[in-house]
Amino acid sequence: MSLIEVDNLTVTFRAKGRDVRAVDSVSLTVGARESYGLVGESGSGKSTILRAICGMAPVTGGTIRIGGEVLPTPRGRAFSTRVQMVFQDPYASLHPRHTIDRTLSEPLAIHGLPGRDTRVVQALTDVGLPPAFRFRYPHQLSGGQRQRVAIARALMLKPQILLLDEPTSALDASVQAEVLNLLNRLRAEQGLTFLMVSHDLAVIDHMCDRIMVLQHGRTVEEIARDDLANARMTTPYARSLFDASADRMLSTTPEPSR
Amino acid sequence: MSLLEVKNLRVTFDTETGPVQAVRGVSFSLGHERLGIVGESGSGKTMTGRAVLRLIRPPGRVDADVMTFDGQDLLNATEREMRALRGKRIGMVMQDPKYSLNPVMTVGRQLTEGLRLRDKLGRADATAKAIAALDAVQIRDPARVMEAYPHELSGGMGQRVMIAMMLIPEPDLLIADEPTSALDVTVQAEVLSILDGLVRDRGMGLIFISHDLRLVARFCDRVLVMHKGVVVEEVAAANLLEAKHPYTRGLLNCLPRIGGPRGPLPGLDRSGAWATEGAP
Repeated sequence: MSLIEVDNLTVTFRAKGRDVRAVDSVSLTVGARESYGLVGESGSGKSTILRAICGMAPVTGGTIRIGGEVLPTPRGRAFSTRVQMVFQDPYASLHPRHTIDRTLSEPLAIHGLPGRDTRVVQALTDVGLPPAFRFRYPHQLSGGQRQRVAIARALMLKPQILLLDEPTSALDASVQAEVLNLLNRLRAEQGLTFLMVSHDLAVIDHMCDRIMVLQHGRTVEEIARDDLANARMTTPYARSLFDASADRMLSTTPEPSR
Repeated sequence: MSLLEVKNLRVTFDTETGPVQAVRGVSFSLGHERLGIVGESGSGKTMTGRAVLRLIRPPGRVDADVMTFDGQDLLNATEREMRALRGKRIGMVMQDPKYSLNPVMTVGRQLTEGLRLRDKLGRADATAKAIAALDAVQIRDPARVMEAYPHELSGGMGQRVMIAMMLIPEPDLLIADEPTSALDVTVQAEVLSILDGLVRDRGMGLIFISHDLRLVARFCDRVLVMHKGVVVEEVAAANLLEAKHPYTRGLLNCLPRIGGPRGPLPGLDRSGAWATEGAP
């Protein structure tokens, strides 16, 4: 049985008296410990799917099941212990006036969990930050360090599923590599399931087992990783994304390993 | 003949802990070509671009041995002379449309403002020209966008409006600071081909500032790689893969690749002497 089952999901926003269908009958399933990628341009509905799972978008059709159960609305506490989200912009997603300690211990306080001290230190160590960072504020950290804090916060309640919304697109290339490596290590260590959104096909390819290409809120194509690597896509749109991907230029010449 | 000549450019900020040099002795010359400047955040690439237009505000200071544009000395030009250059002869596309467009003016008014004041065009002519410019950057419904306020546009649309605005006066040199970072890959390709066309057809010079090494390599003729305010390497874009400097190589290698190996990505090794050399 799949861990995440999204069936015929439709999300409709009302803007200026006009209905905008941001997600139109999208279905997908993600198995436990799988890493699933959503790719598409802005406005393709990829982030909206993640937000709909979290109950932050107006779902007007279809069902979302986690572990076989239809999600209640509002989502409730049980949901946040299973599913957590990491957002794109680490400059905007951390409270500027809360210390890292407060940011990380808030989920514990809400859920009435004990062992706050050890858990915060453990969470920081897990994401490769020194424990002394507890007493810093977000503005005292670099972008990559902030994103590590955001990941640590998402993992505080030991969820099974991480929803990753462009987790590295605000970061420099070398920092992106570090954060992607961190995510992969945590997935292996903690047996996490990823549902990841990115506009960068190379990042998605590096991280995910299966990939869904979206356009205008609709599914264009679902591709397995091997098929992507060998350019076996069937739709012209998926191919155009593939061709426009920045790394095509360098992919013809294999890098000397050093 | 070179359009822009820069020798030993330095940008200094005086802080409580003493002067900090954001740009430390950058030299380059630019003809009618596409020059890429690449580096990570804090490498001084944006400061280099802004210094050319003397857009560094106090307490920042710009010094250079030589900085000339088309034979004109930029270092000793008066503010008035600089104003005549900015926009009209040297355009600049800034990074973030959210902060660079006026939030309380419609796009149409912002686009036509220069045409009406500088070029003394009538309302109808200015509007027609602005719509043509929006058309040129592939905005599908230019008449609607003209009426819109910046917050009603997506990031990609805002960025294209910025590019359209900078291209209206047909500058000789365009400094584009991360012009496509907010755009989708397919739109990115369109914007790049627009810029490319301008360089080719009108002989415009282009300084393309980006953190994306692969994009710059694909698009530019020459690439300057910057690290901590210093140009560590200059390569012809076609030979980027043969780049020698460990920093350039590190930047290239830490990027994931479609169909690449699944193991951990190599991090950037900052232990070399280059990383700490002359650091402030």
